[in-house]
Amino acid sequence: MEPAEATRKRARRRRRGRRPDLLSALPDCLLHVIMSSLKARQAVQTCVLSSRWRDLWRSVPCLDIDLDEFRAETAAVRRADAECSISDHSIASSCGADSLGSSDDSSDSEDSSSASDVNSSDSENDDSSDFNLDSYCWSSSSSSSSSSEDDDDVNKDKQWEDWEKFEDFTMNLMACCNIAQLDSFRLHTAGWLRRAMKYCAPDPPGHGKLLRSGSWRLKRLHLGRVRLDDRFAKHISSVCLSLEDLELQDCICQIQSVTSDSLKNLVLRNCTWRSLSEITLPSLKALVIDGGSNTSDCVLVILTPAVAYLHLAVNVYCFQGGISTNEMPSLAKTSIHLRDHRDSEFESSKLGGDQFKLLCSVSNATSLELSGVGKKVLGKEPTFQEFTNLRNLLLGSCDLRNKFRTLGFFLQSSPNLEKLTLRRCKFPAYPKKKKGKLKLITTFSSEFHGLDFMCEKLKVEIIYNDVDARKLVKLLLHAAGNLSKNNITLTKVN
Amino acid sequence: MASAGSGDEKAAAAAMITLISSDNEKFEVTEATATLSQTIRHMIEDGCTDGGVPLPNVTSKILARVIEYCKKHATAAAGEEGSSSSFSDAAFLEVDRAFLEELEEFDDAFLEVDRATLFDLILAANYLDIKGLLNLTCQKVADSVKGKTPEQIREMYNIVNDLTPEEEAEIRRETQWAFE
Repeated sequence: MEPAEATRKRARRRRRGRRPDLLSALPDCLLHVIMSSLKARQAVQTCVLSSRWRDLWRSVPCLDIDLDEFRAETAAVRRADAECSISDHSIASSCGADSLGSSDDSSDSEDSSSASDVNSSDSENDDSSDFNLDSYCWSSSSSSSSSSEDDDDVNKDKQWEDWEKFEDFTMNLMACCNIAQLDSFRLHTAGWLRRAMKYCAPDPPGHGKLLRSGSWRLKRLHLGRVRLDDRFAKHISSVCLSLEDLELQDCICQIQSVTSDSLKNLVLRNCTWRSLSEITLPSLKALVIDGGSNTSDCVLVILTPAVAYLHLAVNVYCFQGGISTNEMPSLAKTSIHLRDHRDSEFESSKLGGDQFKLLCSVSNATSLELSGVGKKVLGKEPTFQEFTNLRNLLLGSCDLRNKFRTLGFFLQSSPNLEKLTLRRCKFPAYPKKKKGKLKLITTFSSEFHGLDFMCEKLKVEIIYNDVDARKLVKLLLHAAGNLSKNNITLTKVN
Repeated sequence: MASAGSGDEKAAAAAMITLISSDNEKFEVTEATATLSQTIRHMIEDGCTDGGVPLPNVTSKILARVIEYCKKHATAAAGEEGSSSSFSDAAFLEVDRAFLEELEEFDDAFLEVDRATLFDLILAANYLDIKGLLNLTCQKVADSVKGKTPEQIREMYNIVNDLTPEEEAEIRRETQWAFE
């Protein structure tokens, strides 16, 4: 009785002293969910926590490799050096393992040899448009790192060291994890050039290991600051057959054409298009193009017949070559923001001049938000495009000074419009009050001719700051017999 | 808590489901709230929810929190659907934003719990198959270890290192590329 009592007491004491390990008690699938939110390097490092964690990282379904993790580590180690906490481990492990390298499987040597192949071919094939790796990668960190005794050269060495660690890490990780089984893969680098292609599109010889597995399970792919060429496009078309979400951020794309039957969501943020690019995605549901640029000699052609959500926010000057889209009959929500649009210059950019074409391809939308659209949206000879499905139209920061012709165009071509919102638009200068209502109406009413049949239930909201919106209200009421005053709301903002 | 759902405006017309916690407490919720759980959704589809749904893996304390989450997110989902289908407001993007912000605030406040509760919520979200809640709670754990060294993580979560020094050295050697 007594020993049992003592054991229980001890156990209780132990339990009290050591609180339960709730984390390790979770099933593998949940630990994988948690690890999927960590950056890849930290996810791998969990292998030394305990035997429970030893091999969990090998089957983690999402990998997020980010150069920032390696930069942050440098900063953290520097900070920690003073506190003497982290650095001793890394030193100990590297001392023990240096000579062995990371030769846990034979593909490593293959890796490094093909890596040098790629390197040497880099110097042959690279065109002049390549980044200067050194300055591009580290320009920001070299200014921010403020190490007291290190001079600039030492700093640069340190940065190169980080860079190589990053590459070494990525290569090893790729060799250990079964990429084909991943759900999600995110790779963020900074000017990581040809080498990145090796992982995203392991096409060149020497990488049979990755290709052998046939098609990948990958559903989400997120690449940042990676340079992409036709090998990537080929990989997307023929290997990533389950890919649903693709996000490219700050990528340089030198792609002739890319096709995917599985892709549902595509996000292109600040991507630079270096050659004629044709994107054909028959199943795509949502398309976001936010920023980016192309040159005048290459059009970005987007063929996405099934798209239901379109968000286009670009600076017209950056897309010198324009963006060409086909008709998108399933469109519901559409928003188009043309940034930095000044009417004096926009003719020089195809995108600026092609606003009407752009509108034609979205004419099936049920909800349309346009901002930054200029005066010349109709072109010289407007062919009227009917927005038969349009219920909801928002014009934000649009230039309506062309005697409301643009507004008239929309109203006349949208027979089923239910709600019209004008937000911070530029209105034409009205004649002085003295000359009276009559003048105003005769000046503009021709533009609104034929609005009598406009939907009775149309609601109009005008959000304005420095313009006189009441004149527009009068004009609308005069032109459209059915429009009720009660359906117009005015909101003044600052 | 037993009156859960009675104040809900939409409750009148909607079908109600009774959830029974492991300690036998009954919670009445709308079907819209309950079906955020895929597990319960399947039970409803199979028509086996008459007489209540027993949830032997979830205590009343945790179930109450889970229901709180589902109610909020079910309302938000319904609101979003409503606004986009009727196009009642042209500034739809802003409406969405406001919804999301409110939801985010709710989520932040919701996560203000002690660690044991957090892990119970993870397990409940997994058992009930509520994706949003599972991601939310797992993210909270991930955030807590982000940037920490293995030693710090062990300390933080009371993980006993049962590896022998030799084993640990071997693992570190195998994965040296992740540590150097």
